[in-house]
Amino acid sequence: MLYKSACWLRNHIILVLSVALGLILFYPTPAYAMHIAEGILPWHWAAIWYAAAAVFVTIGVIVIRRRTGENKGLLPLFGLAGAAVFLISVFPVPVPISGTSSHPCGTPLAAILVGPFISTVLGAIALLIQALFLAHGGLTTWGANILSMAVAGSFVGFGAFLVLRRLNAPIFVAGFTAGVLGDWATYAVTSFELAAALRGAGSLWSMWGTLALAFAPTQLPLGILEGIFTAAVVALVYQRRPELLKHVIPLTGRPVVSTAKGGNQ
Amino acid sequence: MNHAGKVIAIGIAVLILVIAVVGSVALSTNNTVREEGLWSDATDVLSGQAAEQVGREARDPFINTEQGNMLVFFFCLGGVAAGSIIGYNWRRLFTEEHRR
Repeated sequence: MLYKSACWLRNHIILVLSVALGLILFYPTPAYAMHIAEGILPWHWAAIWYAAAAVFVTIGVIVIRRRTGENKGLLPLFGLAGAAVFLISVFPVPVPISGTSSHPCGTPLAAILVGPFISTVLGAIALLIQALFLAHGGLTTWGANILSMAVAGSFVGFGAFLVLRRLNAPIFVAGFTAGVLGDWATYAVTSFELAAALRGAGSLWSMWGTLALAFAPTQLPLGILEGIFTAAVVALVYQRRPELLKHVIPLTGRPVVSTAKGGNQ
Repeated sequence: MNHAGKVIAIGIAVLILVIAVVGSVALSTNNTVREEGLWSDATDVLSGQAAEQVGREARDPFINTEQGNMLVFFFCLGGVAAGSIIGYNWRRLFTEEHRR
């Protein structure tokens, strides 16, 4: 009886703490238009980025349908990853060394947990909600923001994790590198999108370099934060439910805690 | 081979860390975003400056929640919803499934 009460209390404390954390993170700040804001891109560039993003999102939706059709137990993992991407990517982090702020992406972490295509869809949904209700990003720049944060962040993060795991890197090291590179890739692509659309008569490469360099004082340290966070969560998930990560970390030689229906495919 | 791979992987991670630390320190004195004000948002400032050079500027969102307390309301709502979803699914994945 006492054990049951303790479990009930622990579970509800976790739930309440999560809600409280969300409230703290969302404490109102002046409206920083993180992501590329509404109206910044000319319509033809907005259309190009929409088209490019649509390819990844369409494949992602197909992958989600296939995987949830095979295993409904994956839905909690998708829900967790999606909400985490939403929360992390709207969280303005002050960077003391530069005196500026920016946001992490969360998509490298989501890509490791659920795969890069599904992470792209989750990122797209998060960006849409932010554009509609939080004045972050915009509907005309949704495609560009999907391509930089959801696609680049997911694929670079996932790729880095996979390569380092193949090299037999410890999970924390692989997770850290994935988080850092996924974050930096997001801002490299954002710089490219801005340079391509807004360079005027100037050189694309010169403007891309200038913008990337201007992002660097904020994003270099923020990438480290994203790396540490990604590594910590991936290590925790692997410790408690290794089968959830079997698509990126083979289970060989590792005891499986549970083979219940929540396992990943 | 496994050991060599591990050393290479750790070397890559260390190199990234060094680049981040050295780059952060070296570039912190020449920060165009900081000139716009303390804790300015990097994407906001840089995309705004780039757009301004070609005569463009950000416009109000389609649903303009930047009025009065509306943005506060939506931030709180977003925080409650995301926090609840994370907590609920975390419990389902790592407490209930783990116990089974």
